[in-house]
Amino acid sequence: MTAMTFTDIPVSEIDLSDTGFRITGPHYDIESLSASVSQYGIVVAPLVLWGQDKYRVVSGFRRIEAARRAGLSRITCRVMPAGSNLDAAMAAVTENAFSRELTSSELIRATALLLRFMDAKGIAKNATAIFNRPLNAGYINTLARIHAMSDSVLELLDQGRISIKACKNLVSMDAETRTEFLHLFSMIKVSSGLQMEIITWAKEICALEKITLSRLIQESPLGDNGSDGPGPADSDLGHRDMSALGKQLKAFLAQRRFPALTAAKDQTREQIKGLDLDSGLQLTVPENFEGMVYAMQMEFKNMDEFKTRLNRLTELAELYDFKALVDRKI
Amino acid sequence: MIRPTRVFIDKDLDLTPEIEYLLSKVKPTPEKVADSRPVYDLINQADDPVGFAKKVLYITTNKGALIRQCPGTSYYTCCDYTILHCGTFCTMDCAYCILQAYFHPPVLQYFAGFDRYTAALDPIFQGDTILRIGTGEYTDSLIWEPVSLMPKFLVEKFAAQDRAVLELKTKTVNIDTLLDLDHNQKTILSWSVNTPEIIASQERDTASLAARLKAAAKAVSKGFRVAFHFDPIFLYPGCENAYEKVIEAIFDHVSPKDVVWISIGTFRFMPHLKSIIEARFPDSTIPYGEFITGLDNKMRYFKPLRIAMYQRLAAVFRQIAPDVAVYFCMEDEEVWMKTFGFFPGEPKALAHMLDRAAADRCGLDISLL
Repeated sequence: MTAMTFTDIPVSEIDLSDTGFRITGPHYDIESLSASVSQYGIVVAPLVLWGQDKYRVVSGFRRIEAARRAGLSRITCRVMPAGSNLDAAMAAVTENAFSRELTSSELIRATALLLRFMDAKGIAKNATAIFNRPLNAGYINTLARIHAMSDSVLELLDQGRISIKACKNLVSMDAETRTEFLHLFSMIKVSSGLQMEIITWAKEICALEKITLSRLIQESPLGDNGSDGPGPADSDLGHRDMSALGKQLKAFLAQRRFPALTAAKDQTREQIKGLDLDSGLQLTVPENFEGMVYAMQMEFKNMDEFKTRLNRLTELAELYDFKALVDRKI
Repeated sequence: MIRPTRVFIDKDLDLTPEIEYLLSKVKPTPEKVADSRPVYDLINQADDPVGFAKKVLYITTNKGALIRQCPGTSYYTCCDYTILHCGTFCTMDCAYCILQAYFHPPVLQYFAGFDRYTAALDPIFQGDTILRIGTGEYTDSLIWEPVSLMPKFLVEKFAAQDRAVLELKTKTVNIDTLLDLDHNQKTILSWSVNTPEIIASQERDTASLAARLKAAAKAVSKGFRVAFHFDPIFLYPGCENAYEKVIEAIFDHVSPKDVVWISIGTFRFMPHLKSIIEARFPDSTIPYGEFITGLDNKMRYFKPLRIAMYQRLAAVFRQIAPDVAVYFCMEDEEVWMKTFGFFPGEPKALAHMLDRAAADRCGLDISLL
């Protein structure tokens, strides 16, 4: 490990625009950190590397920016000598990985940073010491492929709009489809599980209908919300709107991917609604209409309620609509 | 066709005429192995183990039971078929083939030992029940015909008794060495059929529908009974007419009286087969039907879609071949009732229905029914 020295250096000599060793995302709230630095100073000295005429930041981008905002002219840093780039890359990762769990985008940036100096097998061999967790070479290569997709994927990961699992699914697609999916996820906010369903269904619909993803999106509820180009900055929708839009998209894709099943479910929902069951009666149809067993759950608080609902069940048995439902006229 | 690039053989396997014949028909010099491990290791290291395994033949003996009951699945009605386990895997390459996912990895195995088969079959031939026995569950029955004496041995073996029928199920037209055998109608040559579109797009290296039906007609001309399996049926735009035409084509080639049974079943699959199909057949959209998870945890077409398709086909069967036993492979009471208006719900009821068909068409001992 390269020796480092604690040195008091002018903030102006630190090049914050050089993000070569940065693994944290660019979006964060600097105000509170800046206030803390004003009041208590920098508790843990940032790590910098002496460059040609300026210091390059290895770890502590946010602390240095906060110091600059707080008006500090000099700060104490740990300084690594020029040329120790591999050690700096390792330090950039370990400083973060051993103080907290890396986010998905940080993990991707970290592996991409290390891959500049060593191969995936080398990283995997030392993963526990560097990342504070095991990583296998295949996974590291997948992370590298995600990193190579586009800048917007990291932003979407930072914003929690897309999961690594979903990204892993996208890396095997052609560039155009990948870009369209990233555009799609820039407009909605849904759970990781739903992201996978959306990717799967959209991909399958396009294959079945021989259409492009772009056309499918245009025909979907997102069609009116898309802008000219891909990227997370496209949408200025609020969080709630993006969640609602995500649900609408899921419903649209489900209907398109499973039209008969969706129609049957909708029809059955209406049929059950039309039966006007008491609040204490609940009818459950066979899941996906595959089995043959229906269930009627009855709740009651006393004998009167029991008798009332039992009478209602007797009435139901004579009802044509109920019979039609059970006989599956779908 | 079986054209292996590597052949392995158990080192302690005797060089019987059966083995010598097989080795004379395949080109590579056999490599002797103490057990299956080197074969499995070789296949597992391939980029596409499923595709690679089609080129590696392993001649061995069946270490387990030669006679097995069809595994079936829970909830759905099984025909209680008996399997003669004489080989595994296949040289043809169907996108939907369950064998891609069933074996880990799949290995093209030939289970040798006519004496073992005799020992397993003789008690059945002297038993007091009718059995329908097939070799086409874990392999295609007739991919072996050009290189092995096994099909001939089995046909002749079954010909000498009247308590069981042998069904040789195939997508090939490899029947030439069987045609002139004295089969005594105890062998049913059966073909898995599909629409020409599906055969062309999803069944690599199989015989065309026309060739299969021509072979069936040839078999019938030699006195064989035949059967057909519409399984798997795929639902796609225009499929109803396409499958109806297949039925019509069958009966343009053979008479209903020569057909012992016809099974129908829509495509169903273990969920993990989907990713295998996507990887090995990237242009195939067959896993993208309107599937739900069935009660046996296999993916199945949404039931009303299955029923609608079955009703169309049943109507054609009723019209063209009303006396042929048409049955479902793995469907439930609702499907049976809505398609055929009856359900063989009692234990072994479907088996009995098919035993009777076999007895009628193949001359089995009716007193055993």
